[in-house]
Amino acid sequence: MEENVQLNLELMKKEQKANSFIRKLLRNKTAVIGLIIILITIICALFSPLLSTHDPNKVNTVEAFKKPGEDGHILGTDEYGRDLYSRIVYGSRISIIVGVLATSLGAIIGIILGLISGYKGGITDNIIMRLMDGMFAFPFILLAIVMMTVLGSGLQNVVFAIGIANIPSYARIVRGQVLVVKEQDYCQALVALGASKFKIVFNHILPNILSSIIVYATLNIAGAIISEAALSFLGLGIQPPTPSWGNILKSGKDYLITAPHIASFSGLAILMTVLGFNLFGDGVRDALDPKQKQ
Amino acid sequence: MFKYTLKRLVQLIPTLFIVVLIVFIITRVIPGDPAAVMLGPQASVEDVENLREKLGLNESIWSQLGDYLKGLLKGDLGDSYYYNEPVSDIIAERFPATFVLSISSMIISLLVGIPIGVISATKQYSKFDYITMILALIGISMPVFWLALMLVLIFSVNLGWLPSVGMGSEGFVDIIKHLILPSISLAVISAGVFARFTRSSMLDIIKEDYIKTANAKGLKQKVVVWKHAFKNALPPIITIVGIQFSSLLSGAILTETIFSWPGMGKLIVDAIEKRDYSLVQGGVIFVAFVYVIINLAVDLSYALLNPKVRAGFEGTSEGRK
Repeated sequence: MEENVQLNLELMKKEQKANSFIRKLLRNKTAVIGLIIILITIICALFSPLLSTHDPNKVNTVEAFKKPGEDGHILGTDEYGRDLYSRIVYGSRISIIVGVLATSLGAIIGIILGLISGYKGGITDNIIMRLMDGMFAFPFILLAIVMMTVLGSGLQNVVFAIGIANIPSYARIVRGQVLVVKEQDYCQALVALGASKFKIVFNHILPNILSSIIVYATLNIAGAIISEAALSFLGLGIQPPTPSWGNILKSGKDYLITAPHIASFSGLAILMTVLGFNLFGDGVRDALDPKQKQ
Repeated sequence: MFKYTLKRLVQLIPTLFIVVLIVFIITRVIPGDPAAVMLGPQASVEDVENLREKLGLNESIWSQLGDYLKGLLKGDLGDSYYYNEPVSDIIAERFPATFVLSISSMIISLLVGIPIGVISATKQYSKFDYITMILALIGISMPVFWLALMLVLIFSVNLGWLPSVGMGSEGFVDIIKHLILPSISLAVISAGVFARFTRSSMLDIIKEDYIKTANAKGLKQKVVVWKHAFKNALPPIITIVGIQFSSLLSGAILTETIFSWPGMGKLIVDAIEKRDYSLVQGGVIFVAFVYVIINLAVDLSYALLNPKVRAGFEGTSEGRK
């Protein structure tokens, strides 16, 4: 009976905490703007066939380089006469998929390595962290570029390259937090009570450091979207005719004088989405960790 | 400080070794024959075999790694397949351009970002604060390659004010003219980061008692802000400057490609297109080394400016003095 009451109290506390987080987040105007931008991008990605006005891959050279608004093409057409608006709408799919999957891949592996490194300490910590230092020694995009060169282009490889390049940041953040949390009284008490290491790490330490991981991951999605665009812009990422904002921008670069709208709109789509995630990420951080709000 | 420097230098050795190892593993162990990839699908089996022999790919990976490390210690990064020149010579020729671009971008971003951050902090929640912080966030969200294209479109194509290709060779003024657009496009993100970080760091300091005391003593606002507050807000800013300097190297890879700036970024991207693996490998290792050394310099300057860091390490001796 007493256990049930305690369980209910704990659930209520968790619910209150979640409610207060959502309230704080929704009170933050810039975070709400960010959330709206993210939702628009997600809706574009999910309902591309419904929202697009033309087939994004249909070549019609007669219609090439139409200006925005000309002949029913909201944002004009590209060098092959393909509708730019439809290509940008479909391009949101790649950005969201890469943003979410690459961030998740980097986060999952990085969190596990950070937890092991921080909790175990000693030689395990040393080996993992030196490896992370080595990976951290590369400029992020360079590591991704090198991997893409070897792996070859394609969605799967883009996710893999950006995800792997993300691992060291998560491992470092998690390790630093674990070092602090594991010394706290409740963790020491769990050790004294004979709780298994696995249980302590995953059931007790991880939930306590989750907020900083969530903040970082939200901001990291923005980074992953830019990285995908950069790789595709360099010709290493998503290959045409599949529309991605990066490869649309790449083709726009070649026609900057004759058709500046191609580069302008595709880049604007990247900027707005990244800005959305950054605004939202800042809001999440402020709501989860008010100490950082300045 | 000497002990601290020594410790950081020793820590550098395994990091650098791992850097070489990672590049090696990525370029050699992952499926695919580098020699076949370099020569393309039309190459004969004989040609591929000859190139494998020339590159030492027929030896075991450990023997290849050993040879490469030996060469590396002597400054030998192998030979470029495409240019038929030592990789180290090509890098020595190209790196100064990247260095100039990174330094000029850093100067621009510091000159813009730090004063904005300081003023925003002293005028917290004012219109200036809101507008500049929104602009800073837009700057941080900016895809550098898109900004570069837009600058070319406006200032080179439409207005015809500035050149958009190459580094220029007709004297100092010509080089500066060529430098403006690439360095501005590279500086925008860093300026945004500096503005936000300086503001946050200054706000922490402004709340301290000694600042209130300085204000109460009737010191001029300028003196309180720049001499007392900013000086103490500086150590964390220096760390972020170092981090940004490293990320400028990342940004340079893309910026140089757009502006055909003859630096390391363009060199590596071109080498990838030409499938010149030795050059890619050498270039990447070199950039990573520079990246590591910048981070070391940042850590050391941070320790120099912040006695607590040194005391934390030397605890028993210097910390007690």
